[in-house]
Amino acid sequence: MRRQVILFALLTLLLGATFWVTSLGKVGIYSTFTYGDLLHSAWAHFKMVFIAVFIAAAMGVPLGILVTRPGFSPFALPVIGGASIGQTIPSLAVIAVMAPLLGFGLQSAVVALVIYGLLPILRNAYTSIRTIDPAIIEAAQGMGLTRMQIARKIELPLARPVIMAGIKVSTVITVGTAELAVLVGGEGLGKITLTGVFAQEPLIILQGAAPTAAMAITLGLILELAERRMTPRGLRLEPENTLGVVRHESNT
Amino acid sequence: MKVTLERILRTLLWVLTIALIPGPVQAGAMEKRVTVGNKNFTEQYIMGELIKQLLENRGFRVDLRSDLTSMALRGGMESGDIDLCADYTGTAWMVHLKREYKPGTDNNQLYHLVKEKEKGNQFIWLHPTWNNNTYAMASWREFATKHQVATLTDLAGLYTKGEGEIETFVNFEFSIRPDGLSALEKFYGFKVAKTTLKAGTPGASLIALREHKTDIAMVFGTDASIAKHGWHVYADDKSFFPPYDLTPYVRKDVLNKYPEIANIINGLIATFPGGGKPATPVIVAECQGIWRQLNATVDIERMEPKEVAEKYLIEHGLIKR
Repeated sequence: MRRQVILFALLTLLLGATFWVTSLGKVGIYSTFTYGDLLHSAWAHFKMVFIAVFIAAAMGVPLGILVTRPGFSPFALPVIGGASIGQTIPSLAVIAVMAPLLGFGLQSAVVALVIYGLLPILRNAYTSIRTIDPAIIEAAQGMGLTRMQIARKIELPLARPVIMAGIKVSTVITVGTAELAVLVGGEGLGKITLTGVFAQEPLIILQGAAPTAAMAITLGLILELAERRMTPRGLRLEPENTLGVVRHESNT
Repeated sequence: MKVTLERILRTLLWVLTIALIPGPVQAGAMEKRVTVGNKNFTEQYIMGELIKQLLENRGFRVDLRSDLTSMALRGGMESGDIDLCADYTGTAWMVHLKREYKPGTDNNQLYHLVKEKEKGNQFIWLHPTWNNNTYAMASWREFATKHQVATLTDLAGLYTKGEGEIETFVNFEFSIRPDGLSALEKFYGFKVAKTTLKAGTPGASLIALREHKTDIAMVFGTDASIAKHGWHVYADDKSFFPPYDLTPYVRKDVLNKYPEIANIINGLIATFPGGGKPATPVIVAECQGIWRQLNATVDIERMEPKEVAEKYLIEHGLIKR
């Protein structure tokens, strides 16, 4: 609860700062970006993040679960290791390498963001299944459930919140990394931030950075809510109220 | 004799004392020292080296601070960390003096305005090179021929007619400058559709145009690529863009101490077209051409700015090999 209050206060502050700079119209000799520019860039930013995280999740979740299956377990190490390598390369380098390979434009930015956002999703999907208490599975087998039933009724519901947490982390990271997409011809809030950098005007940097941070916080909060809702009722630490808003912190 | 730690330390102390004292006392009094600064792009590297090598040849000890951002260079000039540098009349007028540029003010007028106002800041502006390294819009020649456009007025018409189908690439900073894209749009009466407008780091617009990733690119007047690819630069027929003439300026206190600097540097400027004389459109075009070639020796032929400057000074008889 307290954490959410702090995040909402921060969110208000960031959006307030954005509106303040935008309303100035002019800082030093430079004109600030208009609300139209801001909306256009924010929407482009969101779209890019959405596409990238969607692809990363579509690849990462099935792959992460697949390598926990008995037949595929030898692939677990190379797959998780490969994704880890993707994340150790600096984001700027990943993005910069994409431009000569795939050309200038959205596609380069998205591929780079997918490479960068894949690891948290993949790793969480893998861990979510691997960390289920074997006693639970044994009990299910003892009750006569088939393997398919165990996967559908026991493993997936238990894994869901952890998988969602991975997607949340990946989303928050991607919102930040997507700032760099503008360097390879993508669009987004990075355009405003980098304009500020090259004009050497801190307030213009703020005009791009503050809404980016606000977007990361907002998406983080929304996905956190989704994560809670996906937690099986029996595992939730505290009941929800009728509005679906979580009253107390769980320890996830 | 017994070598003790104390003896060693005492000897060391003496050596240090002797080594340190005479340096500043003897050399410092006689030596003429100046610090030259330059910004972080090709033309500035060359200009920095030109000034440095020429002054060194005339008996100065020169400390060159290269690769500075525009703000850092101006900050250095104001604080006295840097004694002289070369900056652009347009930059000085709008960025440093924070004045509004009235479209139509020509190269000569702007230079005199800047020179006058800068006296109040204790800066003395020397003679300008009329190289007008201003912002400009360029495209491949084929594009201009195909659409029959030559001037910015023509181009504005094409933008209006084309309805967002002309890809445009500019510098990040250009989109928010007072002499940048939105002011240009207002002045010539057109609008670049947001979906076809890209912005990038310095130099990115040149690469985009070279690789045909954009139709129109923002360029600088003396960019080497213009000459290399024979790009069409759209004539600023209504004089929207301010002149950006590369001009050396010196701190007044430094010039009072070493008055000969003015003549030495003006001697360098005299080697450029119209050096020391008022600008005419022909002179500006010639000087732009010279600087495009100089920039090309670095950007395309990959020579070091140092070598380019040395070669230039020798060729023009300012220094001997």
